Amino acid sequence: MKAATSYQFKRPEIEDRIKSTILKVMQKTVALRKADSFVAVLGFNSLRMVSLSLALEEEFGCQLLLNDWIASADDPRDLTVGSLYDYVEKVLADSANQ
Amino acid sequence: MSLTCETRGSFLQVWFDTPNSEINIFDHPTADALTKILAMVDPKIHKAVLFLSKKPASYINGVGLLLASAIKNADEAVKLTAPTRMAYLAVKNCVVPTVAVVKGSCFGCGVEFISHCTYRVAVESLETTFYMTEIPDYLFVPAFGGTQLLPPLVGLEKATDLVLWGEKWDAPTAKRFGLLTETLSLRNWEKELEKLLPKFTAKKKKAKKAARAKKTHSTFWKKTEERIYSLPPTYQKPYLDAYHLLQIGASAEAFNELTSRRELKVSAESVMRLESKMALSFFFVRQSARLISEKGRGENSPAILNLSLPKAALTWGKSLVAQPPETFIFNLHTYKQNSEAARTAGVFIETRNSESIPFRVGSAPVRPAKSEIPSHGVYWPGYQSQCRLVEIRNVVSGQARADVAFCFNKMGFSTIVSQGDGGFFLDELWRNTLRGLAALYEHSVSPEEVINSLCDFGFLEFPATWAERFGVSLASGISRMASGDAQRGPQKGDKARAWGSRLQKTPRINTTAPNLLVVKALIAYWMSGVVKTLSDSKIAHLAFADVAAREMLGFPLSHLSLSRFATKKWLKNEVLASAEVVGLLNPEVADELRHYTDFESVRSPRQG
Repeated sequence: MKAATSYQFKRPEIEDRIKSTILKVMQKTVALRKADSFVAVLGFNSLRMVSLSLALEEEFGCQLLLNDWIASADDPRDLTVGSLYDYVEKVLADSANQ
Repeated sequence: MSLTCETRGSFLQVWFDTPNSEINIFDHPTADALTKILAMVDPKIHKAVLFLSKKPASYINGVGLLLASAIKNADEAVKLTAPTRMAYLAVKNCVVPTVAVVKGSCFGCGVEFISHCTYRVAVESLETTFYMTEIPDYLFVPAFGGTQLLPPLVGLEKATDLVLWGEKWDAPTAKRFGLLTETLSLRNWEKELEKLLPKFTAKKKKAKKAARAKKTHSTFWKKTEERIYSLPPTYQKPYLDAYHLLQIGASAEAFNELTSRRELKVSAESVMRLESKMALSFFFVRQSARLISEKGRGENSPAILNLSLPKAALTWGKSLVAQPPETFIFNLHTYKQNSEAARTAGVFIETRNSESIPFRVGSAPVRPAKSEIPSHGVYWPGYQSQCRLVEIRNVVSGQARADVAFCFNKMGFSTIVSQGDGGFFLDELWRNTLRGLAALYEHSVSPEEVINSLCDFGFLEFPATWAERFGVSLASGISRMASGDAQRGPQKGDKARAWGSRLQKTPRINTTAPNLLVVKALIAYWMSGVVKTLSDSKIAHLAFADVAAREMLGFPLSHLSLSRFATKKWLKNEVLASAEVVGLLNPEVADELRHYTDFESVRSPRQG
């Protein structure tokens, strides 16, 4: 566990942590772009999304099930690295405000 | 590569092996590769094509749920499913016989895949399970031929049990009902398969459509429709649609591109419904719980749970049903000794009274007193109803816990992990259920109102089934809880017992108007238990509570999960802000919820 939920994360730190978590889950070193689609470009399936969800929980120290983020996209191909940054930032802000 | 193939003698063997995954997923790359392979099959070289899995516990588990959630309209459904449907039709129209050799879980589109094969055989292992996940887990109609091909194979009645009512079949059961051509023993399956191969070179068997369709009695149709109309209103459409497709499938109509598209159109409509989208989301909750329970598993984890008696490990699923009522509590001392000293790959779990035969009736009472509960153990209260949920408690070694969870997960169980003193989380869940029901009794809510309200909210299962899952008496529990709650004053146990008996027998729907207060009060009791458990760090993640609520109480698919539905905001606005609901709560429960909604922050998932 790397962080407590009460800690206020800044956007650049959030992006860095998410990037490294994605790469850890992918077990690859690639240059990630905000527009990269998890399904169409990075080759994520539903099970790998679950692994990512748990890895992000570990990274940020709070409940981060990604099903709300997944449900928010009309098409799973619209689930991009950038949209994950936005989602996690919102969840962390909500947690800190509680 | 998702697929590998090799020619052995005159047989082409195709192996499923989804990269970087414990299970096989029939994704687009797999579908495209299979279509190409089958196009190259030459009857002059190949007498048959065999489909096998390289995964030890998975045959085909699905096509990937992200595909289902991508469907926005019928046209898109046709486009997105085209590679899979093309591959399946290539199997069906293959120039030589096709043989599915199933070893491991065969779920959803996996069952549909084998239905396209000429022959189907399966290894009798603990992991081999046939289960149509689509309607029972996700509330959408199957899309890849399940409704059209299963009735001719197993008859309309059994196809209905499989597709609509979520029956899970092991290999012998699937053979008995006609889904399988043969079964193979775990020990010698490869040799037995070798012997069967000449059979598979024969001409394709004629489907027994007409004969099987005739066997279906009209009373069955009527009963099924009655059962569907007793479901919560929002569930009825996908069930009815699937049932009508099954009826069409049971007729003599051939399965082809046209019938495939008809099924697909209905499937696409069902997957776009809100209830289905909520149900799909639960997949992530369940899988999260699974991964957390297996966290820390080593490379040398056991391939199978060795239950001391090798034969029992193969037959325990069946033999359990014949066992008299008992709550099984195992300890892991033997495991720890063996694994640490001898580095064995096996997990040994003994019964609590040290009997060498696992799951044998011991001396433990059905509901042991607190002092009798061992500090380490695997707890399975729902074995009588075959509800596959176990609680792994206080297993100090992370590796041992992860190994045990892995083995139970592999056998189709859901596992929850807990720790601390004072009893199991599942017992706590049942206690809070009884507290809620006793409160409803005390406030003169009728059993009919309870059942009708639960049904209207989306429950398919009711208190009688919950009690069966926990292996206890509903009426006695309510009686005990009502008379034992000092804060509400002394109650007459026999009146509460009579109320509980009526609740147990009340049919699932009637004319009494539903009362949402009833459901809100029950959810408040459940959530108070969850909150307390989390705050004591007894369970490490909300996902465990959600899985327990789904498995033991049948928390409705259409509301995603207990804790995702009953959020702080919901508890504040719908429960605590309503004097009527608060009036149904024990003051202690209301206080716990107030504290949670006002002060407690979201706990870190790994805490404790």
